[in-house]
Amino acid sequence: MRGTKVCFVIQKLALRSGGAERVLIDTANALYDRGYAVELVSHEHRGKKPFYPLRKGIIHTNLYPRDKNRTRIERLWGRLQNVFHKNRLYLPGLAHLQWWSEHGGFRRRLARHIDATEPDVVIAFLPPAVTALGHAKPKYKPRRFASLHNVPEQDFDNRERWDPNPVDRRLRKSALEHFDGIGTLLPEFCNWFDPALRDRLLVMPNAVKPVPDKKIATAKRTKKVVSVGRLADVKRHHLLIEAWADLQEEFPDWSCDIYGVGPIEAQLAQQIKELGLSEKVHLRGHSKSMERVYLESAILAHPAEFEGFGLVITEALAHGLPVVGFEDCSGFNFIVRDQVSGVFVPAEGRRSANLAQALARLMRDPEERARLSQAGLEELERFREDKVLDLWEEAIHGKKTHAEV
Amino acid sequence: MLDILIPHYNAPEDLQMSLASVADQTWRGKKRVVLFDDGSTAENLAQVEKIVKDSPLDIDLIRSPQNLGRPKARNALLQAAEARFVAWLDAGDIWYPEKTEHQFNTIFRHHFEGADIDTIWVSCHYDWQWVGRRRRKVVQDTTGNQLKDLFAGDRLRAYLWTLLGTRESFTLASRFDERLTRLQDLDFFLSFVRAGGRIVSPGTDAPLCCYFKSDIGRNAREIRQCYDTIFAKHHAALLGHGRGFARRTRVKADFVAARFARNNGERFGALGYQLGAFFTDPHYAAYRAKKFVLKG
Repeated sequence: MRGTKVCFVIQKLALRSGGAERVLIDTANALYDRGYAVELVSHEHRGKKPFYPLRKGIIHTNLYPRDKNRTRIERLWGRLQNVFHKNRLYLPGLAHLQWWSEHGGFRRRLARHIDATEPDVVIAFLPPAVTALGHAKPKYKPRRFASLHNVPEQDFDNRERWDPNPVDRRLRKSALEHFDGIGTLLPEFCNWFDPALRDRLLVMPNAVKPVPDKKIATAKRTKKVVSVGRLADVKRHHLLIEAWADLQEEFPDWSCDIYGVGPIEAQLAQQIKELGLSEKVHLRGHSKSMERVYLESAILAHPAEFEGFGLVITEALAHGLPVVGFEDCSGFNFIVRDQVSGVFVPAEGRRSANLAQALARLMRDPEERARLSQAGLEELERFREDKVLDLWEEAIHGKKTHAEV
Repeated sequence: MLDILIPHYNAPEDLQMSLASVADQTWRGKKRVVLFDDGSTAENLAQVEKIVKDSPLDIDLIRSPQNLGRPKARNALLQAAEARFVAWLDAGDIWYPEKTEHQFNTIFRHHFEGADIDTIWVSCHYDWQWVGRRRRKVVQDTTGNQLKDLFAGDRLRAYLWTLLGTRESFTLASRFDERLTRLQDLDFFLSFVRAGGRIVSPGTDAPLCCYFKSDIGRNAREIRQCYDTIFAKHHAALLGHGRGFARRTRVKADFVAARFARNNGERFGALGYQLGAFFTDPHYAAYRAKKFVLKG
């Protein structure tokens, strides 16, 4: 019989294929398999299913009222609200009103849902859910846990990320006080938190799904460098394209594939065209068979500025790919060890030239690639699924006291 | 192997009738009855022990020193189940001899068609008999939108004793909600369907069990409160079928509560629920009133 009732809360889940959504679904599935009763709660306009497959037995509840259930007046009111929410002039008072209009419903409906279902623990995924759950006032008091999936400065201090309304930023930060536990991905992120919150912190990296040894051993790798990530400034794909301009002469039989979609796709396509790399560097968009991509490639280039964790890096290592990234990239420098499972590119000087140099060294030396690949697989031991799941159980039940131990 | 889970509280004669119907099943596979006595009086418990001793069935009796209530008793039974397949029965209701045979045939048919039998329950049509009236057949229609039909309660009704399924299927979503002193079946069914479970019908039109219905001694307010808890718990799913539907479902709950109040002599209580229903959904209340008058 199913025991502890766990309720995961995330604002948007429908058809979302991001890393955090994937971690959420994988964790929910794994906890369900361990005998927990699991519910996923979202609050979004789109009434679609999650992108990643959910186990039968897990209930998904979208608290947002569907459009077809709203009266004509309510729909008109909703449209007026949407216009109001586009306001970017945050005057005192007005900013509060805007916040309430935009997020008050999530907080209110979530509190009502907690009272109605009485879960044992509620876990908020990503900052919008953290704000809603932290400030929700249900009569029933379950254990609350906040699961954060990015660099805290980005989630809580960056004016451009999430809702730019200063009221939201303030509430987002103050919401953390109301949680019994806070999960963060890397040990270095702990320093950002208020000292009063540090005893509630739990460092819980993302789990890595193991790839069968046979698949890795029989992989037919081609001379291909792959890069995976959203096409956004923070991933700095432009550095890889610049670097390839330096590499193409020495390595005419190598190619570079960039997987992902995002706001700067056109800009990157233009850069590729201007540098005359159209035949060697390809924007591949979104792929559903990333496993095949990893197994056919020789190196993962990861020039990102920072990572909350870097799921792509662990996935690549699990498929036997050595990873090349910048030494100052959080996540990357936690997962990869320089010259053991990958190569750290110096941040000093011209970054694209440094990246080209590091890639060239690996592209020339297949034996070095094989050595790094083997060590990378061993490196992933600390991210094994069952170890990470044990940490989730600690998040759900709280740290064990000495007596319990 | 089949575990038959029966909760019991102070009704040894009813229990004897139910056990006799289990013993008469034409399905001859290995079966065990798990009986949970929920704190019956010493006298009744002694009678139960005698029934267990005299029964030809393999019965495991679990005794609870105090009365825990129906949802806790059902959770305890689910915990005690060990067999691959599980069926439920309430003391006082009966199975017809071919029930388990038909249901096993259905479950294996689905298995051979490639369905995951850990996500299906086999229900059946049943006879409904009010005390002192004649039996009438009630059809369990599993062909429609099961979630909607369970809320509406007309085409598909949430009665646990109609079911047979794997033990895993009964732990698919959640346990019985221990806050619900009544109607925990409805909540359990709704959670099952919302979690991706499916209710299927056996390949026969005949009723396979009989429910002896009585409202006597059941508190109408308690019933109505349990409905409210369920509607709040599944609010988003209920509202997903439209506001009008949600309103009508609430009004139907008012009429059920009114029936319980009326059958227990609380005429003013019944009137209160009916008036509440009238103000919430006058059209439906008028329809029910018309039906009542025409029926005499």
